[in-house]
Amino acid sequence: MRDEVSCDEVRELAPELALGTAPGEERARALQHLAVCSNCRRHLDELSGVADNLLLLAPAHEPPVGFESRVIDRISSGPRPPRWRRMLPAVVAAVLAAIAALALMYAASSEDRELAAHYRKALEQANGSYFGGLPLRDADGRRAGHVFAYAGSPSWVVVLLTGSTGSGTYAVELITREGANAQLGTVHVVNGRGTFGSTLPVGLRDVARIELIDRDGEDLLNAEFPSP
Amino acid sequence: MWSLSDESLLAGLASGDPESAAAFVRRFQARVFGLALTIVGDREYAQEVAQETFVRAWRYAAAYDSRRGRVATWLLRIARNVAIEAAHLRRFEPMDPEEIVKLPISSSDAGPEERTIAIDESQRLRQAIAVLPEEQRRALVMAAFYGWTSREISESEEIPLGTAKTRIRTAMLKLRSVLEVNDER
Repeated sequence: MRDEVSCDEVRELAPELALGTAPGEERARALQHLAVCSNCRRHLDELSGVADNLLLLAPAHEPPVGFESRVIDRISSGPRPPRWRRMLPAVVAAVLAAIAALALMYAASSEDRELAAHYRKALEQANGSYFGGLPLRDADGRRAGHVFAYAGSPSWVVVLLTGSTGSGTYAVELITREGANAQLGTVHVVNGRGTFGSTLPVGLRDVARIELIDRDGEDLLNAEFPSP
Repeated sequence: MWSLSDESLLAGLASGDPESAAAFVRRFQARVFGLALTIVGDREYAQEVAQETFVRAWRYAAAYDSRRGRVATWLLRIARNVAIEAAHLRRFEPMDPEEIVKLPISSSDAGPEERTIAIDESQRLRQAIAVLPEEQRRALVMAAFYGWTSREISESEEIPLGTAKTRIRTAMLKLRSVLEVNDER
């Protein structure tokens, strides 16, 4: 992994970041810098304003008749947007222990056991910190697991699958409020169950959602983060 | 409904209020469809893009943060991303950048607070774009509307990657200085 990104590098990339065309890796590194540098954030905000105003230049056209009712139909028949409920502190400790236990249970190889021990250490540090759980839902709104997040330096997520997701390997991706993507890693699912943990390249309040994506690039599961 | 701010309509949409949802769509449908049409160039396709844009707006309404900009621009960003995802634009011939900058400003469907701000800003922006060197304008439009990366622009224009990045950056910085006189967010 490269060294810390400098302000100069981020300012050079800022126009592409603002336009949403910066390559993924560069974007992720820039986001880490932006999380701690208000000058660069201000610069990026200004350029984002320019990018936004460009979109306003496209002329308006009325869509064909019936457009509005077609949209309302789609909204009414689709699944409700997920609601988020913060877990009570008393429950948190129990859940943390459960995750750690599950992580150990599914640790087949010694490599996995090492990983599970790593989770446990990180989870222990989570005691007393902000902690929240979000449902992971499929396209039909059914819950397939949870994403547990805690704010720290760096922030962490643990993804726990407990539903009916098909066995296989899935990419775990983070989408920021700026619309940028960051690959967090992969999770192996066996009989609907799997666990995954990762530090985040951005602060928790910059996360819009976590996605699980299958081999075909299909967006399988989502956990929506509420706005801060 | 006609006097409600964009934010309150969006909040109504987010909470599932059907009247707010309908008013929200009516207020922005021309802008959203217009941008979709500009990018994908086909009416049928643009309709699908516009529909999907409102569905996503409903799903992600809770994620809207007014500190990041106006509702209209948030919505148009979604529209642009949907259009780019859906149309595999890297294979299409993008609309002639000259056409985009020639097109008249249409603000008749703007919400109440937009009426006074948008026209002046848009005029200044159009003028600033018009005086950009042609290659900078082209690179800017390719990136801003069609989501072309610097690498894709450099390959299409047959220029070094660094040159593509510089064209975009120079254009963006010029436009920023034009807008910063009256930056109201």
